Amino acid sequence: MKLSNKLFIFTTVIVVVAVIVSASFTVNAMYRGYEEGIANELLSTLRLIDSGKIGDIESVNFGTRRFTAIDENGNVLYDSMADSDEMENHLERPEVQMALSHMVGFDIRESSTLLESMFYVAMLSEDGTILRLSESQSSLYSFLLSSLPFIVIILAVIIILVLLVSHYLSRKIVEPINRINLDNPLEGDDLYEELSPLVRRIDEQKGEIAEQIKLLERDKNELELIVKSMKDGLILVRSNGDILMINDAAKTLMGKNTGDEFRTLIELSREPLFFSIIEKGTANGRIKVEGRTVEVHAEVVNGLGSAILLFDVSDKMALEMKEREFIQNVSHELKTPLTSISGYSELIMRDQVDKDHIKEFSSQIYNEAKRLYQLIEDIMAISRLDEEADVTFSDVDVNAVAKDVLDSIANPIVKLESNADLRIRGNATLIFEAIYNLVDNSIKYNRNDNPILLQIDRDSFAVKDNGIGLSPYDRERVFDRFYRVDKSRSRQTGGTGLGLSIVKSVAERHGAKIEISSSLGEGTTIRLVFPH
Amino acid sequence: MTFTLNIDEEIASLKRDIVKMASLCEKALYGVSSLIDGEGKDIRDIQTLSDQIEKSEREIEQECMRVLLRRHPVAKDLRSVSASLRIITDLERIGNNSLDLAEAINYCENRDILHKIGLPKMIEEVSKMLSSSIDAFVMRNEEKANNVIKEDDVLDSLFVSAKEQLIRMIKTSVDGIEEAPDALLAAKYLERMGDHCVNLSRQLIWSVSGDMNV
Repeated sequence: MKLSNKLFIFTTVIVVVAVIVSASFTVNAMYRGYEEGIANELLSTLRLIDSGKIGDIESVNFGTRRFTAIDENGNVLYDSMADSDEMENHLERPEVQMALSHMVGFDIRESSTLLESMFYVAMLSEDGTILRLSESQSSLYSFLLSSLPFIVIILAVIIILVLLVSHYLSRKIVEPINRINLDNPLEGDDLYEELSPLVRRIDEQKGEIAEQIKLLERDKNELELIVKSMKDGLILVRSNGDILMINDAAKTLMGKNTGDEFRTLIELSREPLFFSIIEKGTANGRIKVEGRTVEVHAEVVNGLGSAILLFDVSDKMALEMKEREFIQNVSHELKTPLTSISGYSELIMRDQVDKDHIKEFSSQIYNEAKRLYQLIEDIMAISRLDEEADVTFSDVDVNAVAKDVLDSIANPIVKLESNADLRIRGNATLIFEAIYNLVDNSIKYNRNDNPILLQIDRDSFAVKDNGIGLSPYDRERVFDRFYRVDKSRSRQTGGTGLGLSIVKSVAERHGAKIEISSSLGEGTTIRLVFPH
Repeated sequence: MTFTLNIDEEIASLKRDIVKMASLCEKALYGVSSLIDGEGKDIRDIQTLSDQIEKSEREIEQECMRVLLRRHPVAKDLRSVSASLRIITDLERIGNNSLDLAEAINYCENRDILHKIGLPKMIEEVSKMLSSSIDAFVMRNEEKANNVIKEDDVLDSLFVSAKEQLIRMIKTSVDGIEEAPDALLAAKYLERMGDHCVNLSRQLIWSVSGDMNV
């Protein structure tokens, strides 16, 4: 209920009740005054009759009034309205009794003679007769009735005035409360003092709320930023599969456009894994999306839904696979010479070899041991290249390194052709290893002692041979670790399958590009082009 | 079945079950395509999938009946449930056809003939249609559904050219080709699967818009 209405009703009710109560008291007082006036008038009339100045009493017209004369025994001597002979004894009438004892008596009651409410006045005359004059009470009421319209009009006017005034007042009282500016409650100086603690509190809390909202907003923005810039996919779903939130990374990982909207999980993917997320809430596993492997983790959150995390693990898987392959290859390659070594030495140990063959067998053992040594050297070199993050770089004179390589190889078929003074920023040991491996490879796969050319140009060096050459298929794989073009042949040549992959690692370290041109039976040229 | 008070929830759950069933069909068709490439994939896998699809059909059918009887759906909801009932029939046929197709392919000793009549291309086409129609169903996308209906013409022409190719091969063949009937059957199964996809899309359009004249 509005405060102004309440005030209005209260004041109106109070004033109206007050007016009605006071009016009724006034009317009552008026009535009593009138009654007294009537009694006095009746009494003076009786006195006039008693004085005998009226004359013959029977000829007097009393109008609405009734005159009765009663003797001291109560017998009615005369009555102006009824036959006195038929009237009963009036001694017991209260006004008569009162007149007998006090000279004057009053009473109001129903007349047993006229069956009408009457106002009686009685007087004891000097001769002992009791004179009584009465008037019908209806005349009294008619007086009141005649003044009633007037009273009602006054009441109505007062009530209307009260309504207007209380309406205005209640509005006036409530107005300052209504005028409070909730955005800035302390402004304005006509505020009630009783309300000021409340208003001040509102002002304080408004400040606090604004502060809280700012904090929440900041948290929300932070979270949004994190989720948005996450590389991993994040999806929040309700337990019925409706998507509450999905970040762009998740859409990309699921092979969808980032602009697309998804309402439910099944719109995103129909993988069985996602159905089990909807059914059970949790799921872990890997799915294939457009050739990539995506790892999915889903956990139930608060029993309301699930949080799903998506990771792209294809690179990791490829790396793991490569590592596994490398280890498998390494152990296999290490085992091969060891099998020969242990086989031959076992034969010798059991004295099952005649003297002539001992030399041959031990040279086999020696060769295999050398091969093993070479293999371990190469594996170490390549793992060093893989692991060492920072190799010291300095100015390298490639011509000088090339000369060192030729010196250490000491094979007359290798020729150096220096067309320019190539100086690069790099590591001399690594460059040495690269050139050494290239030349060594060319020698191993050479035919008929064809010359091998080590060519140095302005920004590159190359090794050219006229060896067996490479098929297009081999050309793609020859830089892979442990890859060998011809397995039976490389057993003879003692290759480890790591030479060219060392070259590749060195080239990558120096930012150099490898160019390979080769065709089967026509020799191979491998060139390392360095950046300027 | 979980007890829910809301008909929207029940229809959403129905939809999920249908999509799950549809994804089984996709898997079955994928299995067939790897079968033709000779990449192992046992025909028994497809048999299992086909059985699962049939089982889902029965379950979803019961679910639909339950919704119809207990909820008395009207207007769009009624269309959804009634379309669901027909969609699962089509999906079940697709699953069954996949199995028939796998068997037909298995009978062919010489898979070259299948490549020659362009069966892999047809399988690819049907897979595309199936995926698109399920996508359309999931997203309630009329446009996609309409595309599927148009796509069927491509599949039909592929079937016709496969048939013509077979006729030519039969005419010119010296040793006789025993695989021809199976190859033709396989192509026909694929053509039927395309028709089921079209039916499915029509049902979807009807359930979304109430438009029968597609």
